Amino acid sequence: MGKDNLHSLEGRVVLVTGGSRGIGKAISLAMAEAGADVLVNFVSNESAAENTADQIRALGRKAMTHRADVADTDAVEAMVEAVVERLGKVDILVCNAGIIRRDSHVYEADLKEFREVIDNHVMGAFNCVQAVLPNMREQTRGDIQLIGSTNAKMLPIGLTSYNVAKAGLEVMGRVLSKEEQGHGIRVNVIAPTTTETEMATGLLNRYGFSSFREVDPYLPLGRIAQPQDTGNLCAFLASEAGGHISGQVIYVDASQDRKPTQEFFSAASQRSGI
Amino acid sequence: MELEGRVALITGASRGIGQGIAKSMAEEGANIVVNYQRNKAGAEQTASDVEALGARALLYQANVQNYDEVQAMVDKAVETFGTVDILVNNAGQHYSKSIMAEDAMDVFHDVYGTHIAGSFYCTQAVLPHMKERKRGDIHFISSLATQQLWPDEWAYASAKAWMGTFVKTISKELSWHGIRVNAIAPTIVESDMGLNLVLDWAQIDDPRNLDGIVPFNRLIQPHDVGNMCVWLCSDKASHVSGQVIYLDCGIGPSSLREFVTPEARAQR
Repeated sequence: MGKDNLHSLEGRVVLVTGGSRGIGKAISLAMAEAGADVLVNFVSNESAAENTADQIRALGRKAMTHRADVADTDAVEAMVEAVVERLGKVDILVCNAGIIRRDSHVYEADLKEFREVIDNHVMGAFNCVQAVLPNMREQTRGDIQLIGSTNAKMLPIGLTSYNVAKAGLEVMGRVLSKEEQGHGIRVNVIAPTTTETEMATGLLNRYGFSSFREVDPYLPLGRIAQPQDTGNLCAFLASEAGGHISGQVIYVDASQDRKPTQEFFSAASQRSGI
Repeated sequence: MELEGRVALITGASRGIGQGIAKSMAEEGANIVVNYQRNKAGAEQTASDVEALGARALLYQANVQNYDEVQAMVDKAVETFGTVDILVNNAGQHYSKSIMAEDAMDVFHDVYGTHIAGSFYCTQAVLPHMKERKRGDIHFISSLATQQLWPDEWAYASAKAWMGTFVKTISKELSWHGIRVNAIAPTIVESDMGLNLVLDWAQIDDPRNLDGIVPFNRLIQPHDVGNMCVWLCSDKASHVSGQVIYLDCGIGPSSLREFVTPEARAQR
């Protein structure tokens, strides 16, 4: 394979769950830029999904959107049938859809909310993986990418369900890589730190900033993580250049794996005199 | 070209993984300092491969265990190319030997001297230049041996494990200076030695028959490690630091041997 093809995803079809906004959108676009056709899954924001699909088409790739709650097994199966029918196959799956609940300690946690978070991440990934595997195993190469989080390592108090869910994804990815290795399928977990998305704007407001650019100088490597940092890694891992990497958990976190991002924000607000 | 205008110092670049990294980086436009200790012919081959790809090469003999030699090498590199902004700590010594062997002390000094002192010296020598430019990439070539923990690899595996902790600690401070630090840890790479070992385990003669035998149907090539290094240095990896990334097809702490022997294949 020549050097030009090393990073190419041409001829491949990717399904990105929660692909309409934030990190999922960046993954969809990074994959499309490398040449893949994309199914953008969404659950609530149809216009955002359509917008992402339009951007993919503007890159000269095929795109489709599909509403499905990943925790709903039947809906996921229908989605995979739809993408196989329209785009021919699924050979890259990115389980990115996620929800976060500010639950409290296990002692007093709300059972329904806790279960919702676990269902969304862990059962959601399970549903998607099980639905795509029959088709993916038929392809010469397959890639499954689970989007984790530095939370699985830092374990902040107050986000128990999210921490447990993301740690569950890590283990699932590592086991799955062994199960599917004989079928030419790579499985990796890509785990970003706090990333510049709508989800993170709360942090900005809490410390009195109006823009992430004000905080950048106080963050390691000079800026808050961008959605495309995760998207770039996903595209690399799915390409020939990342061909032998499987069963890995790779953090996109500027090595800040022991210090919550909010501590940087707090220090920044003190040092910048806000 | 991802690495246009950049200067990479690669230790142990006369063969195998180091040679593969040199070629991958040269292909992306970086000028290369080809360090070697003994294998001059191999290093000359690397240098001519680099030049054939349109990049410049500086051939430099130095023992990384000697700080004066390392400092002189970095000085020469800076004099020649203006800076060093990529360092690949690749030079290594592999021994498979009992801790109770008579010459265990020699093994200890050689392995720890090369991997630990050597990569520390090189890192120290390049840091001022990276700090000045507010940008740099340092890669450590570790190994899956850190997970496999074979008894006779006590020196090699523990020295490679040191790299992981070193990477995770220094990357935190260096991230304030735009310097990213990562380790890449491959399993057996298709060098002469690795290939023969795998063919022997698999009891086959022809490397072309590895299809269906090894994970993903081929052994890891030096350029696979090179591709990873190039990507990590590129703007696309601008938030990836402090990581140890295994290039092991997901086999983890098990050995390739468990996949390739005739018995293992019969069970599949």
